[in-house]
Amino acid sequence: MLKRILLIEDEPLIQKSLKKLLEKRGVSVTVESRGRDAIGLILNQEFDRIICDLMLQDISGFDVIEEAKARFTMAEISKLFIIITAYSSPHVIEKATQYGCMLLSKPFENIDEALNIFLSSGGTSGPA
Amino acid sequence: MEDQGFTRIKEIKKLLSSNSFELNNFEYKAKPIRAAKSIFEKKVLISFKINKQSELEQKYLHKEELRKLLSSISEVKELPAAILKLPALSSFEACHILVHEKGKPVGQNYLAFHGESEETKLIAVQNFNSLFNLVKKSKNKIFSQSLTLKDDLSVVGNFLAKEIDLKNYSVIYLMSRNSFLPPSTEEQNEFQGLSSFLHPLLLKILDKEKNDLKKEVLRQSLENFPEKITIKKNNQIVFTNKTDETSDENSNLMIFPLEAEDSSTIMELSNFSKDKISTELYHSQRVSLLGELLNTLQHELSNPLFGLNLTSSILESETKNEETAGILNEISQNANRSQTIIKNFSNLYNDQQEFKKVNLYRFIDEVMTLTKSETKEIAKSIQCIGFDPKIPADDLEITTNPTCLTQIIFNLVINAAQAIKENGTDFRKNSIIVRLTKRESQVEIEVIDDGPGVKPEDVSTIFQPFFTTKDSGTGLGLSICQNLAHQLGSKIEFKNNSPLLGATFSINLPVMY
Repeated sequence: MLKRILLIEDEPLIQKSLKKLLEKRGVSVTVESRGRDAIGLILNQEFDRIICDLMLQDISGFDVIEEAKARFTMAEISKLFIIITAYSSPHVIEKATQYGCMLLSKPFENIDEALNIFLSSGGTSGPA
Repeated sequence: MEDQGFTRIKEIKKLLSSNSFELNNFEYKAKPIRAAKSIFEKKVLISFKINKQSELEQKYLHKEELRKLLSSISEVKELPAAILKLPALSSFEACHILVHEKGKPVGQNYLAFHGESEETKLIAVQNFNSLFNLVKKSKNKIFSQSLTLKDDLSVVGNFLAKEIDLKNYSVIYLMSRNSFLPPSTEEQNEFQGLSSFLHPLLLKILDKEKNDLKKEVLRQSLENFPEKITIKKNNQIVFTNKTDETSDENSNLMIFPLEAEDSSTIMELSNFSKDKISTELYHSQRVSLLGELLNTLQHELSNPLFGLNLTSSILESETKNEETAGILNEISQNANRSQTIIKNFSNLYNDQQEFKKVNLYRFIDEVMTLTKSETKEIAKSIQCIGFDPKIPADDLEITTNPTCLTQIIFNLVINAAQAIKENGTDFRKNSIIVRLTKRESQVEIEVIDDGPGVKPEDVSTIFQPFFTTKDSGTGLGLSICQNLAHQLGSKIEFKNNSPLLGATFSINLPVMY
């Protein structure tokens, strides 16, 4: 069971809602809007899951994942990170595949299913 | 879609203002080289004086012959035959001149045989380079044909070859008696002597050929430009590609100065006349702009709308106040609806070039939703004829360009609504019907209204650009639709309804199974 989740998302309403919904399921959620600050958290704190938006204000979600390589192997990254994006172009999907991370496109069609995926132990399948 | 017309204008402007092109010398036919003869002779004479071999040259190549040669040659391809005609070199049978413009993938191989006409071949750059290096390293410049490059050189036995390294070109000249006896010392001297006057001659000819080519390309692109171009210097016409004055009436004149500091040279472009080109231009710009705008909008709005939806759902589930819950539910629903609308819009304006499979009924239904604000209060319906009655909505898929088709249907429905509104103030009894008729290999889409119809005198002109009956109309709608229909391999047809009032516009699209 996952306990600590980092949510990197810069849209305040989505950030607040997801935090609340995840906390209802009994996990502790740290939120961060800026990519650079998120990198600091990833390198220095322990998380069981990192949910990362791609279009952040300062840098892209892929930049965040790149920086995470300093601490994690590719195999660890593919299980740790789940990418969420409102812009799922073929290019974005291809890049997510390279990292082996799951990708959910916003808006989520079914919130409960999305929450289940966020809380799954990870690495079970490729981009969805 | 990058607009071709504008790209061409840019290209031509660039060409015209580039330094290599001297407008003052703009001319259609190259000047014969004779004009530059005196400079030439000076050059050659100077090279004679400084060259140690000048005695030999004067002995074998008399000044008179040289003058003849210089004045008669304007292209490299004439050179091999001319060299063979020189009395002092008449014992040779074959002459090659190989020219490679540095940086080009192929070189030119000019050759002539004694008493026969010249010929031009291409030579691969690797072959040229290996020959050039071979020739450069050799001291006596005598070679055997068996050594090298049988395919490129049409000589037999021994031959003489010498390289000339120019700034932009590498040149090899090569002569053979087509015999297996080695050339005599005299012949070698004659051959060596050639280089000192071939050098300046080649330099001049090759540069001129290159400039001629550049001018030719420019002249052709100017002459073939679809719009009228006039280049004026001090108000005098230097060049124009169209001489008929009749096309001037409906056109706008665009003026570009060609040189930044000097405004005396200008290019005038008659463009955007009231014809098909300008309609398409106007339209393609509008559509591509709209497409980009919608894409940006979708991505920018998607996130906050999703946030709104999520938050209001959570708050709704938490509140105990029923009225608040109702309002929050509505907020959530509306955010959802906005999301759907913007998504549908961008789907319709997706990549314009693409043909896709679409479910025709749902597609038409979506387009009708988009016309909602224009068609308020007018009843609208979709009729399906020849469709499977059990699943009319799912029966027919066609492969088409959805962007084009959306615009056609959208425009026709809006037109129908406007025609109805023109006719009165109460349109609650009016209706617009989109009728889909499935036939063997085609489906007909008809947009039928019960407005006033088209006046008989206007019927022949409704598809022409800028024809409009509305005060605020551009008159482009139907002509754009017709162009789009052509892109779909079809056309829009029109008839006034009879005996009922109104008009019917129809388009037939192929159905592939």
